Amino acid sequence: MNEMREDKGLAFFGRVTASVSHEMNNVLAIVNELAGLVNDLLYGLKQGDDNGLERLGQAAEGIQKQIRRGEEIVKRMNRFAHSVDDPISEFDLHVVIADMAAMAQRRAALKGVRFETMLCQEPIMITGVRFEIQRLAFAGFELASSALAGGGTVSIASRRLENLAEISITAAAWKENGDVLKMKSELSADMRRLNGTLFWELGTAINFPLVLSFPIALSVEKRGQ
Amino acid sequence: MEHFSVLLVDDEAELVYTLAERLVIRGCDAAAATSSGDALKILAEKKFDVVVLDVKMPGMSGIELMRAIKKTNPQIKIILQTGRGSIEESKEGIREGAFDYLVKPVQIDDLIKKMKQALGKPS
Repeated sequence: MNEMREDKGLAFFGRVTASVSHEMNNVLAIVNELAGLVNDLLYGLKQGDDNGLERLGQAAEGIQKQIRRGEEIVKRMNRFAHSVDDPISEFDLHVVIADMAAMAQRRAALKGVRFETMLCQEPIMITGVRFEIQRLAFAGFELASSALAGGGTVSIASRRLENLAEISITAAAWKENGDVLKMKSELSADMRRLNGTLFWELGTAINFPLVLSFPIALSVEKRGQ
Repeated sequence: MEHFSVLLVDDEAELVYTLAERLVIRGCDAAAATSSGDALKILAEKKFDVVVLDVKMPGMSGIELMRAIKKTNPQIKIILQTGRGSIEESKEGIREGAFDYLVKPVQIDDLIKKMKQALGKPS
């Protein structure tokens, strides 16, 4: 059982790092082109062509924009890397949702799926195994993007209930093929193992919301209480 | 100055438009598309010597786009661009008719050299 958990953890780690490195590589590729363009324009200016002056400023702004994008990616990756530092830690569920949605977005985009997060205003503080919660949130987002095979929008919302936290992942035009059913079954088992529940409510024929409810064994409280 | 036409396809808009701009500065007739669908629309209206496309794109992937292009324009030379994680897919693309692949970030001189090789021009 422990080996299976380690395998799943490693597979999750691999998927996340592959996605992050792909995104970071794109940032580097854009900076590479913009820096090249700056060189091209400077060469033109030296030859007396002033037409590139405005574009030069835009290219420099573009580089700064990509550096900010890269910083965000690195910050997310750093939080992810440090999420295994302590077996149990206190963390804001919203940060986990935002990080995992961003990290799952690239793979989802390849399927034509876009994530839309609508998180409640106040932080939802959880004390628990952050790495596992991240893995489950990521698995939920991947499940939703696989179920939306034709593409579309997946809505991710959060709420704090009496003694548990809830992430709801909702999408229209849900399709339950073999892969989706397998992912659903694995996720249900993982949730049970953590004393949590996977609610799978069938709505209308085209709307099959998935609700991931986080473990009641974890303490959930508002920041400052 | 380079005298050939190239269509660049990548879902990273800033990347593909900047690369097109730099190729135009070097005399290429370069155009850019940010999706496979847009690329097919542009190809339906204009002929290109080379298409340089990203292997991983939302919706229709680069390899699927290559197959669609080869069906209607078998003479077009295709060069794939890939991240390090998609090299195997790029090799598969070569087996299916792509001229070659380049790993991102690509240096513009290497890209021009590769396009010239594909067109049988001296580099």
